[in-house]
Amino acid sequence: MSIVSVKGLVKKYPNGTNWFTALDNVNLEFMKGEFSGVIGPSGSGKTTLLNMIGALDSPTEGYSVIAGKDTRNMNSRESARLRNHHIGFIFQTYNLLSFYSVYENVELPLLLLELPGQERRKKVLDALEWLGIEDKVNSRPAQLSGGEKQRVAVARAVVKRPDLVLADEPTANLDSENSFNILEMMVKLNRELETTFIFATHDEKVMKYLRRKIHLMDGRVIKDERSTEGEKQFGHSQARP
Amino acid sequence: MSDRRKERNSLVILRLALRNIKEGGLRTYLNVAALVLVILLIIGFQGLFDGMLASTTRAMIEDEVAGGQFWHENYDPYDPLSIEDSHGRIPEKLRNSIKEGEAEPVLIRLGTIYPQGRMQTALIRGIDPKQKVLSLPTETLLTENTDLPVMIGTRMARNMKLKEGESLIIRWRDSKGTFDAAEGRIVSIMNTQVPAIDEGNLWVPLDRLQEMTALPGEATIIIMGSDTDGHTPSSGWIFRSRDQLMSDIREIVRTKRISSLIIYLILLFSGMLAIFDTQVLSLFRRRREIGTLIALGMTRQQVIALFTLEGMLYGIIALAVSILLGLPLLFYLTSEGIALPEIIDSYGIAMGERLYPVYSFELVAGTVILIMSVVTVVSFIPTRTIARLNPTQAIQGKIT
Repeated sequence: MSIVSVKGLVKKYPNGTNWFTALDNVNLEFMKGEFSGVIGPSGSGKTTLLNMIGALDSPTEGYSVIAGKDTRNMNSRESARLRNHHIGFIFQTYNLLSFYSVYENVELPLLLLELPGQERRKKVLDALEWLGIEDKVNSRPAQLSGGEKQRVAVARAVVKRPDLVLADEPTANLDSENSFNILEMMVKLNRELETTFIFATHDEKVMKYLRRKIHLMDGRVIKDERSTEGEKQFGHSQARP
Repeated sequence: MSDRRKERNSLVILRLALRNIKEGGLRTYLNVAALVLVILLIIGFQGLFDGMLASTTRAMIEDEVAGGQFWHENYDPYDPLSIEDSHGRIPEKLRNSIKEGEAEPVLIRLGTIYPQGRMQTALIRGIDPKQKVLSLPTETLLTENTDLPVMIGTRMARNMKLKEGESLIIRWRDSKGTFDAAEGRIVSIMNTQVPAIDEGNLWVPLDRLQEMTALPGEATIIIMGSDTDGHTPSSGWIFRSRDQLMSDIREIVRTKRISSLIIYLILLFSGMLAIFDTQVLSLFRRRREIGTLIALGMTRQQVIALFTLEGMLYGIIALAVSILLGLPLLFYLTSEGIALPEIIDSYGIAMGERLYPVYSFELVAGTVILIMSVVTVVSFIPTRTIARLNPTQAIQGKIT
């Protein structure tokens, strides 16, 4: 079942008197439960593509269908609703809200979904348990290590059980040990919850886990590679550095 | 969006705003302190002016104006030269009211007094000692003494260095222009808030003054007991309603109130600047948070509402703190009053030794509405940039 379908996506930004083409006629389809990544050097359009898929930005041409919803004519309220219900984001810089505790950070997407208090609590505690940070429930982001922060960010992304998780360079600020742990958890979540993961990365450590690698160069898909290597690895989790 | 959904949405935003405010720390304390100061000063000062107006009005009504006055057509209190010709027969129509104690004639004549060997011009006011229209202790003028009984005010006594029981020479001209003089004795020194009937005024029995000036049955003004505008005009007499007679004092208070408005505006501006600065800084400092909230599924309108609500909450907290701190203070001032320096007397406003502020519901509600409206607008204005914010840039902590 297709969870993301991208058709003829073009994104151009004004660059002085000219236009800079960040994405150039990108056509992709992601199926439910995929563990895939968009890879390429800096400036190749990875983040732009993720932003388009996440309905955070609108394309210059083309369109995308996310979780069965055509984003072409969506207004900001509808795209917010789409993100709220179907998409989880993981950022390179974690983007945790510093005022809030770990619990409150993870609870935030559920608050926006207006779930009842009891249900929220259960889901938050479950997510924290999955990520192995239940002992940090009352900590503030400033009190956490980089790895712990990213775990909280992952918990926040998956707590509402979204159809799709978009992870933009999730391991860029982590050491090998923490990268390994985070990726292992994502693989586990992908397997247990059938959540679709799409990464934007140029980190070799992440690439090892990917079952599908979409190579971007200057905004164009130059290779769409489905490997069995990643699948093998997450089958017996031996990618520890 | 259904009403119920909107309501739940608002609750989520309120919860987030409260959390952010709570975590705001020093920023929250400073904003709240600035607003509390503004609220208390505005209400405090406005209450003083309201108190001043109320006290002055009450004193003038009780001691001078009563329910309005008939003035002889030549009478002009601001022109001493008009006094000589300002007298006439008490109109027939008013005699009944006077007899029933509902109106009181006063004859005003120019005179000269010689206290302690000095010469001083004075207004001699003749009034029935048994009158009940004004709250003046005129019954003290009822005396068997052959000297002319004179009542003066405390200001007059102080300035002329006169004491109760002392006598003084009074000179006047009768209706024919003939000078005459008599010895007057200070029988009482009254305490009135109204300088206009105190300084330079000698109060004597009406019949004695009419006799002295050869003006029997005549008066300069007739003070009416009850407040009404519907008095029948009498020929040669002009009715001045209570409202007209109070207009000068209202104008003085209004002028002072307007000048104080400048201070309020500066205060209000300072308070609002604090909120505005906080909002602008918040938007800059929290741009990553804004981007994240949008990514998590908040609409821009919700984020704008969140930030505006945070600003408004400063106002709401400030109101709560103002009630906690201000109520006891304002209650104390209302019951104990504020001692006024003697120099206030020279302003020409009828005020007592203490000023009792009046904090009306209208004043408090008006100030609250004003503050909350301005806080809301000031909180909202900077947040409009969120509508133009590119969330993909904001997530990375950039503002475009």
